[in-house]
Amino acid sequence: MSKYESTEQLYAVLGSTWRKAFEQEDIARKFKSLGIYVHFIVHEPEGELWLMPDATVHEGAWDGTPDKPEVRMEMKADIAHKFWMDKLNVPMATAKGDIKAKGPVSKIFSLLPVIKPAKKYYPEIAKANGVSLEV
Amino acid sequence: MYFELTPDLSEEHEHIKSMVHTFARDVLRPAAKTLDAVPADEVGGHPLYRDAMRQAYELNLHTILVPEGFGGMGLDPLATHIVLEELAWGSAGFAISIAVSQFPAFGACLLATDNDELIAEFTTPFVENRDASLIGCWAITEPDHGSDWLMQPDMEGAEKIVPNLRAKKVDGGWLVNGQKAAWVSNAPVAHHAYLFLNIDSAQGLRGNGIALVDLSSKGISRGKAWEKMGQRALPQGEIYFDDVFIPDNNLISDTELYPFAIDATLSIANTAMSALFTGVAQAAFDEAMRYARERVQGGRPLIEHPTVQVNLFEMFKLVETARAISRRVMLYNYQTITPSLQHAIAAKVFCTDAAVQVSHMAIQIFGGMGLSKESDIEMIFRDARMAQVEDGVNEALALTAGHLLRSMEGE
Repeated sequence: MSKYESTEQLYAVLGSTWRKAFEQEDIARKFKSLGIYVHFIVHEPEGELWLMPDATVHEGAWDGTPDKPEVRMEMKADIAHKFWMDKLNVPMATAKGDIKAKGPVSKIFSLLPVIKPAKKYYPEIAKANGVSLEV
Repeated sequence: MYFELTPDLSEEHEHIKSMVHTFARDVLRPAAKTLDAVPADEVGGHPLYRDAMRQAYELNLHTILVPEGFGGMGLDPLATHIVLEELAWGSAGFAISIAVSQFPAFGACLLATDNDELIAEFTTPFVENRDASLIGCWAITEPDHGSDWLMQPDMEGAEKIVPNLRAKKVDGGWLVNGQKAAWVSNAPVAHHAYLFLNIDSAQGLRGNGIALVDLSSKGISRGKAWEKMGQRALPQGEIYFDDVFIPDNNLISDTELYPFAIDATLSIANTAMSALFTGVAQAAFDEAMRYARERVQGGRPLIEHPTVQVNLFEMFKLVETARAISRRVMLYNYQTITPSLQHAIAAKVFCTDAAVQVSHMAIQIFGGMGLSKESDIEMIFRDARMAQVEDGVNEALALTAGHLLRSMEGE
């Protein structure tokens, strides 16, 4: 059974985590410097999340046309949870197909050090929205 | 410079192409020509090698594969192709030396993404280096196992092949013994290694792993650099391991991750080779065109002779096809972290074969001058011929690709 009960809960947690992260000047600056759209596609529950090049967040489908490279990352909500809890071996998850990533390799890898300092915001936000912190 | 068929090449792409072509023409080609006659043991310490590498590092060409988030150039796939092709147009040996130098730094990003300690040791100082005082190598090939390493771990017989370099588990890490063969690119000059080794001999090739190693570690020594027929600007040599301790933290791929790691590494390397030897094929074609215009035989320039025109067209066709397949594969394989190895191999085999065929035909156009050390074409031919063997003998690569195709049956 998924850690997440609904798409709304997923958006509340992941959307808030990214917004909190982008409030940090350093994270926002580094993300903007990548010049990319990041499109997360999450399953069980289903959901989509877009990170825009200007370091803003859009929950749900977005019908715009990216004018910069798009990095697409697809995974189950439980894998995302494990990742944000810092309990996921990313290369192994990629090898097993738990994470499917498309887009310029350099941009995909460059995202990870940007995300890393944002992980600390996740547990509190997840807990506040009723998501168990167990992995 | 060739006629560019890609219609939407950006100004940035045009700029980098022109910049790298100039560097390859003015620095790499002349340096490679001189180093071609230098004894192998002296190449790595030769002022021309050192100076050309330093200039490549100053231009940041040593970080084209390293993601920008880790301080590298992180070029897009098309720009990566353009840079590799132009570097090899100047010199296959230098191009490989510059490209393979990035492997430990890139390997850390690929397989130890979250490992701050390894990124700090193997990636950050490397990308910040501007005087080529930090050089990396990819240590995989062994005296008893060259193309064996290219076997897919699930291929029949893989469990019976045990690599020479073996690691035994000890407290806090691994004790490594054995050797890597004379064909390790950059081994004589490298400081860091992206090292393939066996960590479970009972499983043969299925028991392999990958480590990042500081080559100044106790117990590591280098062997003599072998004299070789081509790519003589590329220092290659043996590395010996005698009770070398590698901390657990430096083992970036265990046996479970290894099938992914070897696929990713071979896909990146073979795709890069296809771009590099498109550049070598182009160099041979350019030399032939130049000479055919200059050289007068039978009362008119060679290029006015119909048979020469036919041969030039055949060469042109091969170069353009090589560029088409290598770019296409790079555009796919450098846009995903699960690349297609069979396509990478198809591109490597095609482009290296094409480079040999084009340089061979170029020598025919040159006639006697093509057999002389006075010309660049004889060096280009020898450089090209090496590539049908390095990074996997083409026939062995074909076996691996065939195995992958068989696995796709029914999909």
